[in-house]
Amino acid sequence: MAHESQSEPATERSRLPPVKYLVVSYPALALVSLFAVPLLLLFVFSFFQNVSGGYLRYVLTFENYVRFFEEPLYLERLVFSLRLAAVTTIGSLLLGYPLAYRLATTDSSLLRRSVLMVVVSSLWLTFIIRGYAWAVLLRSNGLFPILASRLGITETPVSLVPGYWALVVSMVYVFLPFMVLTLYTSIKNVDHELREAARNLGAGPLTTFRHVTLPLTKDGIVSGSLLVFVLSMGVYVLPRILGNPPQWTLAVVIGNQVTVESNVPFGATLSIALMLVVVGLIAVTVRLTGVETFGVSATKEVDQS
Amino acid sequence: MSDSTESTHSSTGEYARLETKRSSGRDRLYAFLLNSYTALVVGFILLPLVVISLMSFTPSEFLRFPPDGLSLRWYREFFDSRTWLLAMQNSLFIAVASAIGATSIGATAAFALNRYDYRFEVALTGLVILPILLPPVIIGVAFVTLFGLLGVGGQSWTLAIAHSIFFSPFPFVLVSQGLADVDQSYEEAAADLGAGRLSVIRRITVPLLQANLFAGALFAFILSLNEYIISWLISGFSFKTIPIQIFTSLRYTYSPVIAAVSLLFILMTIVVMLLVDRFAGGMWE
Amino acid sequence: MGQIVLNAVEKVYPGGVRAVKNASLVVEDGEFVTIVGPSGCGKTTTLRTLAGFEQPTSGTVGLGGIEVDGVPPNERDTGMVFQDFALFPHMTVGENIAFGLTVGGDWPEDEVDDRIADMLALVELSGFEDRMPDQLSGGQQQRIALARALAPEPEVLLLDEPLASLDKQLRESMQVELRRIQEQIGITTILVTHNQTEALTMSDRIAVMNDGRFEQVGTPTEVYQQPATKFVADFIGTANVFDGTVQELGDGRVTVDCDGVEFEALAPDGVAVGDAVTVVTRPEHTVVELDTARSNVLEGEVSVSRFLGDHHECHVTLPSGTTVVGVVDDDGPAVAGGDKVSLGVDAEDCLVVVE
Repeated sequence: MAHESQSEPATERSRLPPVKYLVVSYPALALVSLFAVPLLLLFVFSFFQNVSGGYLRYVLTFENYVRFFEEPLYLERLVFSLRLAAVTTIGSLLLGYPLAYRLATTDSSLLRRSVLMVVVSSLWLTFIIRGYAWAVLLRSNGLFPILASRLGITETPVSLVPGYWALVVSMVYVFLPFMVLTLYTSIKNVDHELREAARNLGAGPLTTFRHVTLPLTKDGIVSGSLLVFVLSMGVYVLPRILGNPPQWTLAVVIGNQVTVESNVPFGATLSIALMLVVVGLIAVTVRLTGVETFGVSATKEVDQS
Repeated sequence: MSDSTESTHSSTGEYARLETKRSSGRDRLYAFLLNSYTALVVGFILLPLVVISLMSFTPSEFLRFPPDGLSLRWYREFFDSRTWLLAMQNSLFIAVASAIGATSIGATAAFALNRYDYRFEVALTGLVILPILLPPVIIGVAFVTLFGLLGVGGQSWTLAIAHSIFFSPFPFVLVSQGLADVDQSYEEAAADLGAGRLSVIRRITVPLLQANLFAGALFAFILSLNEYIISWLISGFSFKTIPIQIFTSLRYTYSPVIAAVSLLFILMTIVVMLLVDRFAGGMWE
Repeated sequence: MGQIVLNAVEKVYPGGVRAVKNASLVVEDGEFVTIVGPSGCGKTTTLRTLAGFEQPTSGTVGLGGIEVDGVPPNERDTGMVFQDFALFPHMTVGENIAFGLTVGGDWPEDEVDDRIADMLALVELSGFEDRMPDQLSGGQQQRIALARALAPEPEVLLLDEPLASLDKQLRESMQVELRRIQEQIGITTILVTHNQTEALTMSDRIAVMNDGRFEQVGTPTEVYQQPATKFVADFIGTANVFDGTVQELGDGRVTVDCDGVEFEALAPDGVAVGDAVTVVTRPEHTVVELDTARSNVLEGEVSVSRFLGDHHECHVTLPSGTTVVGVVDDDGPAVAGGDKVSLGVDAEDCLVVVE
């Protein structure tokens, strides 16, 4: 090998790790130290003992987990959260699919963009504002109860807030955009020629929908439903604003444990439980349906482009 | 030379008189039903927002619907109130910081995972996506634990960090999408013409990804602005953001100030949306 | 009775784009007609109007003796083969073919399986019932799309650029196959394509479309040998086109002056001295020869000379700047770029087009 001149730094460059590791170090470090570590801490904390007054004893114990299973309240809340999430998912699916279908199949670009913008904008508004809006609409002097009493459905305006159905309505309202956007992408991906071919072969609009569009959007339906379900499981604000304690989700209980009760270890336990349920659900759904959601899929096949 | 129109007549002369067949009309019925339903759902989406906006102009103390007159008093009350303004200030600062943080983490991760192969690829991708899957309350508690241990509880910059992590999936997904669309041959052409690696990134990759980067930052900004639960848990009553302030006010009253703040937020959101649409509008198609 | 009638059909899109202008056409039962024209000429719109995917702004459409305005596609008796085949990806080949029978129609169950088998035999893909579309090659998908369209025994077959996505060799064999199948079944067929070779080789008649109008409808021979307009002459086959004015007229012959070059040609009907006409010659009649005995001689310089396998083509630039495409016979002179040559065209081979 040729002798390198003195002015050139000898093998400086080769001592640095390859670029690819440098690049990924920032996000990887950030995520690991500020995300994976806190979660791990959470896991560890769930085994600590709580002493009233907000102090912890750094002793490992299972008592928090025992409490979770033994005191009926917590499992009750978990089951309620699951039920609520299910109802919300079904509601947003029924409401959202026709809308997504109309958006995906319309020729009018103006209609599509403006409605999509409305949908996406509502998505970003804080849940609080949206929940608050429904509280206003469903109170005893709100639009809907007054309408109901005028139409004779009820004698006097009946306040629906706080209450289970107010909560459901607001939850469907809040998560509808997620469903619509997922379904929209899925429906859009169905080649319109396939629908035309079905029509040409004698299938009417409903038949075409049943045999062509619906089966081909199966993935989108699963994706959207999973997304809404998972997000519903974590909702905190809406049950607080629109529901009484019987309508509180597990997330609300967790929040209370950490703040009002100052019982971080138990809060951590409940968090771990909730997390396991959610992650478990995702894993099971992905495995069962083979649908790729959030970039996670059941198979590790390399994308052939 | 035969005239072209003559040859359209059939060889047997004028074409036969046609009977008429009428359509069953089913198509039009379905189209009408679908369109009406769409209008209803869009109305459903808009209704609460319209109601709140109207209510923010009510002159009376209580929320009356329909409102009896127009007044800006609640907006004045908002801008006169130290509490609200401070909360707004906090919200904006944290949102900007979070946008920068989230985009830096998400975009770098997207770039790394797209351009290079790693053994721990799946794990890293999962880690980047995970924040939006988990119920925010859990993440909030986890951060509270961490910051508590580190002894920096209740300081606003910790919230900025938490949001940066929590919202990084959004720039990540957007930039990944963008990178997938950008043809690698542009970078290769630049390299072939002599540009060093950093130069390529600076002059080719980033400009092409501008729209996605900007959109990702905007997403993180607006989400941070609106986020409640993590903010509340981390703030521990020592500082307030707008969502926290709204929630606190809601405990005691349904004062129309909240409606006024809501409308301001709605307007801010619309402006941001329009900006995103202008810069990266193709995304929605 | 699979007669197709288009009567003064117009299609105007919102925004004012007139895609189809006053199109009239009658296709007899069992005929194979190709609508050919450049992209954007309105041919696909016309086809889709027949299928029912577009509604004409004015004019009527008749299928099998029945006016079908406003009738949705699923209630028309047409079978369509789409450009991208549009095979249902979530169904097997058999289910695809059966779709028009079971879902779109009500064929008795016991006959369906036989029909599927018959259709597969027709397109020479027997035994493919259980395959999925993504397991098939392009040519196979094409044939299945055809089988699917024909299975419900439609009155009319519509083909939208069916061979566009196939490679050359496959395309040529499919041209033959398609025609064979069509003749075997005897179904009225309309094919839409931009490929004029397809039009010439496959059709009973050709309708040449340009900018929304039918410029000429006739047999392949008519359209090739007697183009009605300059566009048709240029679009169908290669042509040398010269605009000029009639100088002399007499004895069944006409002399046309085209920018300094004089052509002697057979006189068409109804032409007079001073008329603006276009003289068209085909390359195969425009021959590079040393001592030509042909009526018209053109002189110029060779710009391109290339061997195309079955003939030797030559591009010659005339002093006026126009380029003429001609051929060199096998036993003709050796020709290279830059050579000064003369081309000969007989008067009988010069077409005079009056628009």
